[in-house]
Amino acid sequence: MANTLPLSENFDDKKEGVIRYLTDLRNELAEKSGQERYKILQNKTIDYIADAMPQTLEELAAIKGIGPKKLKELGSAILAITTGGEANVKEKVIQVSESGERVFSVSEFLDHINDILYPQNVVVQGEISSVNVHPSGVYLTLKDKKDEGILDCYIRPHIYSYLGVELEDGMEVKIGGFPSVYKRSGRFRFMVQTLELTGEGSLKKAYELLKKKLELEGLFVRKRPIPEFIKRIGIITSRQGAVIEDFKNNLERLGFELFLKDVRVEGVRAVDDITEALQWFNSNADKLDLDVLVIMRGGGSLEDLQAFNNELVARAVFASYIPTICAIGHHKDAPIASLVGDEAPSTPTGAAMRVNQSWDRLVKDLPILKREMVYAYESKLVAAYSRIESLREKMINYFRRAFVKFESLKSALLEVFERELARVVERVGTIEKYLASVNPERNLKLGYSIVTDNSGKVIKDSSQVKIGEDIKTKLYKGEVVSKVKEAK
Amino acid sequence: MTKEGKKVKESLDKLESIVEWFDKQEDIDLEEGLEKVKAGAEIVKDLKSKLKGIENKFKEIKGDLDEEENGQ
Repeated sequence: MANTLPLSENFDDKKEGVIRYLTDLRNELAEKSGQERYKILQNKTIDYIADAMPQTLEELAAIKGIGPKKLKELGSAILAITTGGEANVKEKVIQVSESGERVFSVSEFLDHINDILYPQNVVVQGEISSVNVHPSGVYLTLKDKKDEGILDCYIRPHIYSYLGVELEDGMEVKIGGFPSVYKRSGRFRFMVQTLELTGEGSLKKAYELLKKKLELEGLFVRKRPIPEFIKRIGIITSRQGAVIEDFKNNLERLGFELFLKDVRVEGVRAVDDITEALQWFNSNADKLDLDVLVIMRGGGSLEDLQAFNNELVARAVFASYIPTICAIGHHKDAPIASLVGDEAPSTPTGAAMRVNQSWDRLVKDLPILKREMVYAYESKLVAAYSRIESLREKMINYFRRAFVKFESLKSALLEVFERELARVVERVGTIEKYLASVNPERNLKLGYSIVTDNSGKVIKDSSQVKIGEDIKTKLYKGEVVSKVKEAK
Repeated sequence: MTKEGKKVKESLDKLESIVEWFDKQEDIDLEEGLEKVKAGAEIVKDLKSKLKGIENKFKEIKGDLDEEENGQ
């Protein structure tokens, strides 16, 4: 890669040149190292460098986006570009003034011509009349629709691979770049640095081609669920315009944290910006703890939206491991990026609603759950009360039955007792009568006497007594002692 | 999902499981039930506070996160 600047007095041209060299340097380093381009140098950083034109490492270090690591890795290469230009200018001026008339070698002349042509950064619009995609680059021929002009164009492989557009004969394109003479053939060609499709027909054709291609690859099928309770959102859109405001205004106040990457959403830098932002968010997703990415753009024509119908953008959306909502306004054909995205509301308001919706389960279900829980506990309480009540009833009934039984037992017992008692009383009466009848005193009263001998033995036979013996006669009242005179 | 999102989900799941617990109980353990209701009420309070109009934060990212953190 040449690291000298074209011969030029014009500051803006010089700045353009620096941007181009830095971009080339960045792209080549990215290609060699296999790293993402934005990781080596962001477009914004390149713009800052071109604005500041640092001449020393200190000056370079002061530029936003240049950390100590970048300074070490790229410092000298960047300074060679920003300082080399001026040295080159002086050198060439001296050479011309010393010699007066200069004789060039062919190669020097071509270099000189190319140096003059290089700042002629132009945009050319035309129709592709032939296209040849070759490993060494893409060879295009552009023609005008009406005039006969023909322009041979060359697209470097790394630039082509970053276009993300399928080219076909008959497509109308707008190419940006610079004219140059190819030293080895001496042929004039246009070095393409940017390419945009233009005209509804071309855009529609490219759209259909890409849609078919990615559909076959299955890029439209994978749809990941947008997580519940989204909190942290990465946003890729333009800081300017109503889109971001619409989105913010339609978000409910749920403490969302929004991280915006400002990108161009149309024009030749849009594809770069959007893919870089997608890659950036994905490589910083853990640090940012993102739930979802939202890519937004207001509605527009196919031409306005072509960055979102770009293969690179579509693949970057597919490669995003953060679930991605693509809210890109459109009329008829859904942008390819939207087809790849996990969800695709058609407006920023729709995207905000979708994010709000992730809280639905909490917003809507919480009052219901609360009610259900209280109701469940209440109904259990009521059930417990009624169960206690029924237990009490059962207990009372049990005792009531016990009392009834006791009462009946008691009366039965009393009956038996009374009957027994009567029987006893009767028996006692009989016994009493009998006893009365057998009482000796009763006979004494009737006039009978009891005679006993000295020892008190009752005399029932006259042979028991001896003459002259004393005997005792017991009367009803008192006793008589007498002597036996005679026994018969 | 962010940590906070996970927490909300866990809390909500817990609340749902409390309601389910009541549905499944055949025998009534009112004390345990009361504990559950208390725990549920705490969750409801906590979740409600998440819905109470917390302002959204907005930050525009410029450059790289690392470089921003390094003060570059």
